[in-house]
Amino acid sequence: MSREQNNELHIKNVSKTYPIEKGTLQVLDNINLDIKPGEFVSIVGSSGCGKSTLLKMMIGLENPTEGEIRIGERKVEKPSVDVGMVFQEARLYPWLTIEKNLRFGIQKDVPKEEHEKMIREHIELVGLKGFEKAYPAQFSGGMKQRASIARALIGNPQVLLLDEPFGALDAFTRINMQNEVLRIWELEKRTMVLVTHDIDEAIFLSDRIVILSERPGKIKEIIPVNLPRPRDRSTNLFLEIRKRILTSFLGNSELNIEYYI
Amino acid sequence: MGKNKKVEKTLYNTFLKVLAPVLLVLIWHVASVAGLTNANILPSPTRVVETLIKLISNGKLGKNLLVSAIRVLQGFSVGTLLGIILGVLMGLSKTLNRILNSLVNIFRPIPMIAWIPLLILWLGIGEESKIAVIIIGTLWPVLLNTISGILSVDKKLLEVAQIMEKSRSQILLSVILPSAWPSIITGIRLGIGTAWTCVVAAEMIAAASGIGYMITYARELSQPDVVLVGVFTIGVVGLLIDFIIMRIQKRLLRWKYVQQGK
Ligand SMILES: Nc1ncnc2c1ncn2[C@@H]1O[C@H](COP(=O)(O)OP(=O)(O)OP(=O)(O)O)[C@@H](O)[C@H]1O
Ligand SMILES: [Mg+2]
Repeated sequence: MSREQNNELHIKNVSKTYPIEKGTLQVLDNINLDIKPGEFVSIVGSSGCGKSTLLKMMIGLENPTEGEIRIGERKVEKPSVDVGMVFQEARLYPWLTIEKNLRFGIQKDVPKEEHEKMIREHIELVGLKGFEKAYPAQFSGGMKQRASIARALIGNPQVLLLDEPFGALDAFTRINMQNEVLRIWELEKRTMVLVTHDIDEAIFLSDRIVILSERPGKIKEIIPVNLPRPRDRSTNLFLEIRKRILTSFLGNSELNIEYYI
Repeated sequence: MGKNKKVEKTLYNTFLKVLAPVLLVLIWHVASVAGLTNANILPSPTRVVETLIKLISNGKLGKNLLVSAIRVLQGFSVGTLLGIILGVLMGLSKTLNRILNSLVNIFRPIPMIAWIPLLILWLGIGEESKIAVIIIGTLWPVLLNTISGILSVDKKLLEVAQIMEKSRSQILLSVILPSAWPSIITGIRLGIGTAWTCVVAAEMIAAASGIGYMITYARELSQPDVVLVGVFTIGVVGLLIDFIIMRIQKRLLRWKYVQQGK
């Protein structure tokens, strides 16, 4: 299939301005970023700097005010099944069982005979076996988020966008979910773009970390993470990268104070 | 042990529920026996029960009830269908909503009873005018609740369907309608209540059969016991309808009633 060959993501000179009551609000300023097929990229930045907006433009729910976004040869202007997204809230359909929620995510060109098998496999992939017939209301937050990831994956997107998918979870569940996402990514090797507030999460998962400035968001720095996976969060190299990101955020002075304490 | 507690609690709740009606009947009975009430205006409970049995066994109550029920069913189903279709269209199209909204706002506050003389003039005193009253009565609650149900669909859930490239009809059937169902069913529940009230009102004004007619006719003959049987029957049937709709609602909206932890 052609779309499997060329799904490099190009973000070129992208700026975004929203109309608001009194004039306009510039959210993103001249973003340039290329993401290779199979790459894992994280985006970090303070609240309101336009991270969600950037993801929404990558999937075509919003359009850039200036510049353009391409996936391979296709210009992104409206949503396409090439790109999947996991939102901050699970956004499952409450009136459907988990099984049926997943079925809703299957692309329409997939033959009916394969549906059952795909649903079974994806439910197992995220560790929800035995809950096929349960409704979202019966799930904990972590289970809902796992179901939401499974629903995005079952659509077989070439690029998966994750917008703070674990933000609402407790620390232990979050670490579990990070391991799970890593496992799925290594298994399926599709492009993943993760927005997160959790610096450790970004380092643990990503090939590269994009740091955005405050609104209007500009790319401040892109930090590559060249550590073998799975990564140990307590090694010196891990902590060094952490320090680099914090420096980028806060500037040298504040970090130095922390050293002396 | 836990089970016993549960049974105890259900029994207690049932006791609380029937307490007030039973007390009322008891006071009524005592007052009748003590001769505090005028039997020509308020017959004793035993008398009312006797009349009830008589009306059941000679088939009068059943026949009138059936006539009314058929009218309600006809008017209610047309009104509901109309309300849902119109409501979905008005919920989906801002333009249509603007066009029809003023009409709705003018006609909705008119009490059902005010329509009856006009409808009799237009449609005669046959079945048509009565069914038309019921249609109008059912239409409003179903229409308004359908519109608000369609409008209240979560934008976030729509976005999910959008990124999966679902067609417009699929989005309507799989996202918009299911999320509007709770509201639509509330409308239907209110609608059938109004339908039942409408049929009685219409029959009291002009009819030769039906439960409303039975009451008016009995009043003309000064039979308060028959009037009371009719009035209570209306109440009981209303209660029954509501109970049935509640059961259907729980079945259809099972996802709303499930609890965490299976
Ligand atoms: N549709 C919109 N219309 C107007 N303003 C918007 C719209 N969507 C977002 N904004 C504004 O754009 C800015 C960036 O929003 P965005 O959701 O992209 O931030 P974010 O980086 O994801 O923040 P957070 O980390 O809190 O999720 C915010 O100030 C927000 O209020
Ligand atoms: Mg956001």
